[in-house]
Amino acid sequence: MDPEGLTGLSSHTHNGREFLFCDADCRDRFSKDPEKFLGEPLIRVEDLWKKFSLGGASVEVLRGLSANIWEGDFVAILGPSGSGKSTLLNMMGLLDRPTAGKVFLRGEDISVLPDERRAELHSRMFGFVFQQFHLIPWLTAYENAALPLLFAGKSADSDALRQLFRDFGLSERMSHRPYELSGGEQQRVALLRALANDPAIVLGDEPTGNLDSVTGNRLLEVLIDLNKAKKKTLVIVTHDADIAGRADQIIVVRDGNVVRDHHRHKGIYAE
Amino acid sequence: MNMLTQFLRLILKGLRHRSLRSWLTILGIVIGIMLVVAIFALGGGIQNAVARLLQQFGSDLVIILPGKETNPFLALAGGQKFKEGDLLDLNKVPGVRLVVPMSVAVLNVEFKGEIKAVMVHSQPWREYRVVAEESKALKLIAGAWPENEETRELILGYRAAFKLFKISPKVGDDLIIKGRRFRVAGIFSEVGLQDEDNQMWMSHKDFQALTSQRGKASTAAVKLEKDVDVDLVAKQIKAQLATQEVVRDFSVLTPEKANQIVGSILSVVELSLLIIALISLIVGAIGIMNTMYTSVLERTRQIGVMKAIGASSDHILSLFLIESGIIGLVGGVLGIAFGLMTAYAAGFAAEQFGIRGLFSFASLDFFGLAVILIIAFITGVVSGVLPARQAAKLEPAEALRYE
Repeated sequence: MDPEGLTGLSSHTHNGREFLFCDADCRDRFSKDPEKFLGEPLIRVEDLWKKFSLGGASVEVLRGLSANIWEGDFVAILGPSGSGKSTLLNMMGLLDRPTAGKVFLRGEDISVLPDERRAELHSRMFGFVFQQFHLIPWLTAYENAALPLLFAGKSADSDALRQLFRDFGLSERMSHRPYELSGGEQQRVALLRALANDPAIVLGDEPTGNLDSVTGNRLLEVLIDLNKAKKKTLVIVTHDADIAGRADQIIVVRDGNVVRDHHRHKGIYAE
Repeated sequence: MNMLTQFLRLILKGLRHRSLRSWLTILGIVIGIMLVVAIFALGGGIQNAVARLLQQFGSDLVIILPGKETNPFLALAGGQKFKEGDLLDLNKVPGVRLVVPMSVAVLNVEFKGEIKAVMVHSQPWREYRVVAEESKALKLIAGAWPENEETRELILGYRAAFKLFKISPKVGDDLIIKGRRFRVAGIFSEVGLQDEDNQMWMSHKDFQALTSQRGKASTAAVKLEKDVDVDLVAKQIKAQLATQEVVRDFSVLTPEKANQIVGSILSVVELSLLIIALISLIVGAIGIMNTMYTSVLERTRQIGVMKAIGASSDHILSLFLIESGIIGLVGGVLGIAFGLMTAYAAGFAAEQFGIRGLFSFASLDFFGLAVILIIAFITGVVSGVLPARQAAKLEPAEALRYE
C-alpha cells in the first residue's frame, strides 16, 4: 500500500524492514509477534464484491473489500446497519458466495469450493452463533447441540459434548426443548452446537444482540474464554462498543468497505 | 448408530412435531391406495361372480328376450310377453333340441304365518330339468323333480329354502301363494347368485293359473343340438320369431354375445373405478408435494442453520426425501390395510345378499400388494424431489435471511 498522503502513521522496524501502522495500537500488536503477522493469515478476503438483487434493483453490499484475520485473534466487525458487516462474516464462513473476489483459508482459495467441501469446512473449521439462536424447536438442547456431529458422520452420543454441557452449566437442561430455556440458555446451547465439532474458528453474528446486558456479558466472557484459553479464533459482528473494546482487532465496515481510520470513528458506530 | 438411523430419528421427531399435518398428508395417500387396493382385491371376485352368472346361460343355450339387442337386460323388467305358441314353434327350427318358455313374477309367499315377496320363476318341469341339469349345473340337494305339470309343486332356491323364512320349509311342507297351497318338491343347490338362490320355481301351468296369463311367456331358453353352428341356428331362430307380431323387438342372445355384453359392462366399471383410484392417488401425491413445499418454506431457516453447521446439500436432500418416502410408505401400508378392510366389508355385505366369494384373503395377490406399496413409496419420494431439491440448493445465508 502506498503510504503517501496518509497522516498519523506509526512505524516499527523488524528484521531491518520498516513497517508503517495506522496507529500505535496496531504497531504494538505487531511488535509483540511479528512472525505471525508476516505469515499467511488464517482468513484473507481479497477484493470481495457482493451484489443482491432486490425486486429488480441491485444493491452492492460489499465493494471490493479486503481484510485479514490472524489465527488466535479475537476480531470484532463493526459498522452501521446495512454496511455489509454480516455479509462479510457470511463470506468468511462460507455461508454465501461472493459475486467477485476471493476468500482464502490458510492460503487456500475457498470461495469456489464444491458443496461437499464447503459442508466439511462448516462442520470442521467453523462454528456459527447467530443473533436469533436458530435452535430447532422439536429437538432437545442436547440433540440440537449434537446435530453437527450427525452431519460430520460421527455418533450423536458424545461424552465430550456432555462434558461441555457441564462446563457451560447446562447439564440439567440437556433434555429440555428450546422453548423451555431462557434466552441466555438457548444461546449457550447454540454456542455448544457451534463447538460440537471443535472448530478452529467461532463466528458470531451479533450473538449477544437478543440478550439483556447481564446475560450478554456472561456469554461474552464465555466467548472470550474460548479465545484466550482454548485458542479459538473468534470473529464477531457487533454493535456493542464494549465487545469491540476487548477485541484484538477491529474491522469497521461502512458502505461495503473497510474504514481504515477506525479508531476515530469508534464512537459513531457504538450504538 | 449409523447416519441413516440418526437421520431417521431426526425426521421422525420432525414429523411428530407436525403430527396433524403429517397425518393429513398421509391420509391423502391412504385414500388413493385404499381405492386401488379395494378394486384390486375385489376385481377377481367380481369376475368370478360374473363368470357364474354367465354359466347360468349355459354354453349351448340361446336365450330369447323381449327388447332390443343393444339393451336386452333392461327390457326384462316391464317388457312385453310372447305368445307361448310362438315360442314353442321354435322347436321346428333345425338344430333346436328343446324350447323352455319362462316367466317371472314377484308373488307373496306365506309359510307358517310369515309372508315374503319372492321372485317366482315358471317353466315346464320336464324341459327345464334337461336344461338345468345339462346346461346350468343346477342340481337338487333335497327332494325330487315334480313329475306332473299340474300338481302344484315348487322347487326352492337355496336361500329361499334356508334363509328366507324364520323356520326353513322342508320338502313336503306347504307354502301358500295367492291362497293356494303349493307343496315343496325339492331344493336346489346354492349357485352363489342372489337372483337364482332367492327364487322359487313352479310349473308353467300353475303359474299361468295363478297370474291369469294364459298362453304367455316373457322369455325362453332354447337348448341346441350338439355340434351345431350356434350363430347359424340363432339366425334361423331370429327369422322364425320375426314371423310373430306380438313382440316386435326381441333379442336372441347366444352365450358369446352375453359374454360380450357383460364383459364390456364389467370393463367399463373396472376402468372407471381404476381412474377414480388413480385420480385420488394423484391428489395424494399433490398433497405430499404441497406439504413438502410448505415444510421447506417453513424450515428454510432451519435448512440454513443445518448447512451452517455442516450439512451438505445431499444431506438436506436426503432428509427431505426420506421424510416424503416415509409419508408415502406409511400411507401405502395404511392404504393397503384399509383397502383390504374395505374389500372384506364389501365381500361380507355381498354375501348377505347371496353373492358369495367376492373377497377372500386366500386369493390375495401379495406380489401385487408389494407393487402397490412400492408405488406408494415412489409416489412419496417423487413428490418430495422438487421441494427437496429447492431446499438443498439454497445458500445458507439466503436461507437464514428468509422470513
